[in-house]
Amino acid sequence: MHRFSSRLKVAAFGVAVAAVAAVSLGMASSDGVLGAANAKATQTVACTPNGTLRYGLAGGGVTSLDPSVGGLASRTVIMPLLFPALTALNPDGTVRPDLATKWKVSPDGKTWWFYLRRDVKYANGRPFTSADVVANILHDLDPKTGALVRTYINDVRSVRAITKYEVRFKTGSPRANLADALYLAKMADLSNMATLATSGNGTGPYKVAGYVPNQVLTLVPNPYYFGPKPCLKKISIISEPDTTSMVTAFTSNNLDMIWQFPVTAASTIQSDKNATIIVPKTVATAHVLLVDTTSAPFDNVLARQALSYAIDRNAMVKASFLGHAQASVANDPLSTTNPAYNKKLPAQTFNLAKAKQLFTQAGVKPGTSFTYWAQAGKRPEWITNGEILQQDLAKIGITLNIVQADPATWLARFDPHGKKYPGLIVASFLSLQPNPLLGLGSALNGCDCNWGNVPGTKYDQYNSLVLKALGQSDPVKLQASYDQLQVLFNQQAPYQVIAHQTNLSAAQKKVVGAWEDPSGNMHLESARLAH
Amino acid sequence: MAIYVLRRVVTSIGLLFLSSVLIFVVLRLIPGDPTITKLGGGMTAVDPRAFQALRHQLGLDRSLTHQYVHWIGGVLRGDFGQSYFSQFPVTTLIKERAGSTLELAAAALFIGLLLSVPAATIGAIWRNRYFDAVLSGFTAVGMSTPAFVNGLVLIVIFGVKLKLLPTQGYVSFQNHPLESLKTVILPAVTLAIAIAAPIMLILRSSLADVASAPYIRTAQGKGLLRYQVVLRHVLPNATIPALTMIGVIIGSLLGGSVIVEYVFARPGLGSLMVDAIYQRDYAVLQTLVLLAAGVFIISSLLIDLLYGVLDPRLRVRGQEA
Repeated sequence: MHRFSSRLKVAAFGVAVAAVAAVSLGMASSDGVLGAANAKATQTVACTPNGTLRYGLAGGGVTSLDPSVGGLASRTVIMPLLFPALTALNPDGTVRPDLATKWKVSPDGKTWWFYLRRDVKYANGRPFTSADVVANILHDLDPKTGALVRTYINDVRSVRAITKYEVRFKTGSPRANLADALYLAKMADLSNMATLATSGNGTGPYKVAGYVPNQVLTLVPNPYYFGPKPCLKKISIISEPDTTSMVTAFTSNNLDMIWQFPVTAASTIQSDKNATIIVPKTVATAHVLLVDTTSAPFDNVLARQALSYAIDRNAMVKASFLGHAQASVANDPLSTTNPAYNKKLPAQTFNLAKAKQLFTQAGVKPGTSFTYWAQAGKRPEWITNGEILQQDLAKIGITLNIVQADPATWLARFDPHGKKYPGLIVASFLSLQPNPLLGLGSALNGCDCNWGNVPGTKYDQYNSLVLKALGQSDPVKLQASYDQLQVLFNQQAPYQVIAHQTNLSAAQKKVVGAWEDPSGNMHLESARLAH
Repeated sequence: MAIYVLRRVVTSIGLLFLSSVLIFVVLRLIPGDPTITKLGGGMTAVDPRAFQALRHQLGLDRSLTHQYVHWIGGVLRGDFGQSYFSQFPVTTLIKERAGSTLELAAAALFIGLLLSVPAATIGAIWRNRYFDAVLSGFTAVGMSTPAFVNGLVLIVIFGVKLKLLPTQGYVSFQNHPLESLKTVILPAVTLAIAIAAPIMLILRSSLADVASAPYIRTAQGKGLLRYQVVLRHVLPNATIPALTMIGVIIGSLLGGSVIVEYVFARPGLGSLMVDAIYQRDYAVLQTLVLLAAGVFIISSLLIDLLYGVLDPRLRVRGQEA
């Protein structure tokens, strides 16, 4: 199998991110100066640290304090608390200055300068300088690190400390706003690599006071933090064995906040007058079905379209998500709440007759079997979705065998990217970045659907559209590019979007200031306990 | 006696070695890969070189024989490696969780013995059919009902309805003895039911066997009261067969009671093992399983040796042999 040029793919993806961000923030003026002035700020409110916040996770806690590597999504809550970046994310998905106070870009868009705060220290008292920025970026860019952020900054060709508080980036292609991607590049203390995963030494508002992996992480205010004092005396991030015990602990007031609770508990929590459900302003996460677009039969676009028409999304939202999700109308990575959503996309509503017709055209005859591959235990809604799909496919003569596997077995069957899994329909969950091109770029970047691994497919056209979008500064033309990308995604269906749903989180009413970003990650930087 | 002890020790070491090989091989047969669990699963494509580098760092690119020798060599030196994920030494992770498991095991064993031994003894003394029926019923229910069902029933009654005791969590005895006792009662009683039932079954059977022995009739003939006969002559002899069961129970308790720890959200060795299974953290998992096997083997060995001490007949037979 010939792999499509990953460098071009990733470079284009990274540029796309910055391009869209630039549009949303406002493009550079002619002298190349971009402003902190354009960015909205969500600063912590100055206060005296008070009280302990008990934050509950289920089915997997904090297993490592190394901010670079992937692993469980439950770790994302600690990132802004321990490891700020040059920029920080706002609730609406834009970025604001953080460790960098301002930045500027050259007219050709290939050179960026970031100017750092001068009063930043790590939690152990060591000053933070441009050398740390360089070390962290190089560490993230190293392919052997496996850093998730590498995808978004992979076109950075060099990073250099100009002075103690000035860093220069050079990119291989024009970047509209590198700042938008750099919020993902967390600044850890790399002076002692042996303790990177265990120390959690960062420059954030909190520092690590106690850590038992997969059990409890205790944070207390960082005395060296450059910003306003955080409002909590202690944050305990507690791992519960499963969602049931987590919800029980919350309803019996043994936890103040919980993240990613099951939809079946929503009514219980809603009826609790002391609790509130936290939702983000926009949703950039989705439940999807992945197929291998390089193996039969789903290497045929007709088979993928057929599958899309066979999915009764409304029934799934009702039965699995109890209404706490938004059914995808046109199989689009962007939710309808995204400002860039193409409202003219042709709908792919449930239609078994059409599904059967398309399957037949694709050579998928009645009597064919597929395997529905889901996780055991953690996502019961996936099983319900699978049962609905199984019943519907049976009506057109296709057998769907539902297989549940433990998370590691489930993941290893179709990951890492490039692995073939013919005949499998994988239930999965995608947590995308807030801006539109990131959502669309997930297909570009290499979902586990292998789209883009074979040259000569419509993926090339998709990639060309992205490259075209990169150069667009005109918002109207840029939106036209987004529209074309969504149309192509709708036609090619590299994966199936069932519904857009964010992680359901809840807090006792005494907890204020916490918020969830569009990717479903919780932010506690501004959290405090109301009296 | 010395030969008997030596033979048992050598057998135990052999069993431990075989267990280590079995554990090592079986773990690697399970589907899943720790490098994928650690690096993969995101929407971004991780460079294949990252997987290669991680496999090299964890030693997973070496031959299985090399990996086994490296691991077992470390075990013999007291170095059990590092978690693939948290990078904490495995011994540190075990120490952090062992307290909870030990407290639970001790409390469960204490309550279990407190339930079973007096009840069986009273049954032997009193010989009341209604009391015997109660004991039989308890034994049947205790042995047939899964531990998690007992646990959930206790949670509903004492935690939810009566709100007398906490239903989850752990407080170490050193930090707060009273709170520690409160958090351990329900899980300990849950386990104690599962412990007491088989002990009671064996003990009652054994008491009945011993009670019909000629020397017991002699004791009765000498004018001793029934309770004196039971306590001085029947019970000590009847306890010996139950020791084997107790040895097995101690071994399984110290290995970590996974189900009960999960039901009561109590962090212990059992939940550490489950987390390691989910993540395919071979370093932690193989050490924990080896530890559980070792505890089991050692407790069986100690019980066997205790037999020789408690039962003079075994000492005589050994000398004659």
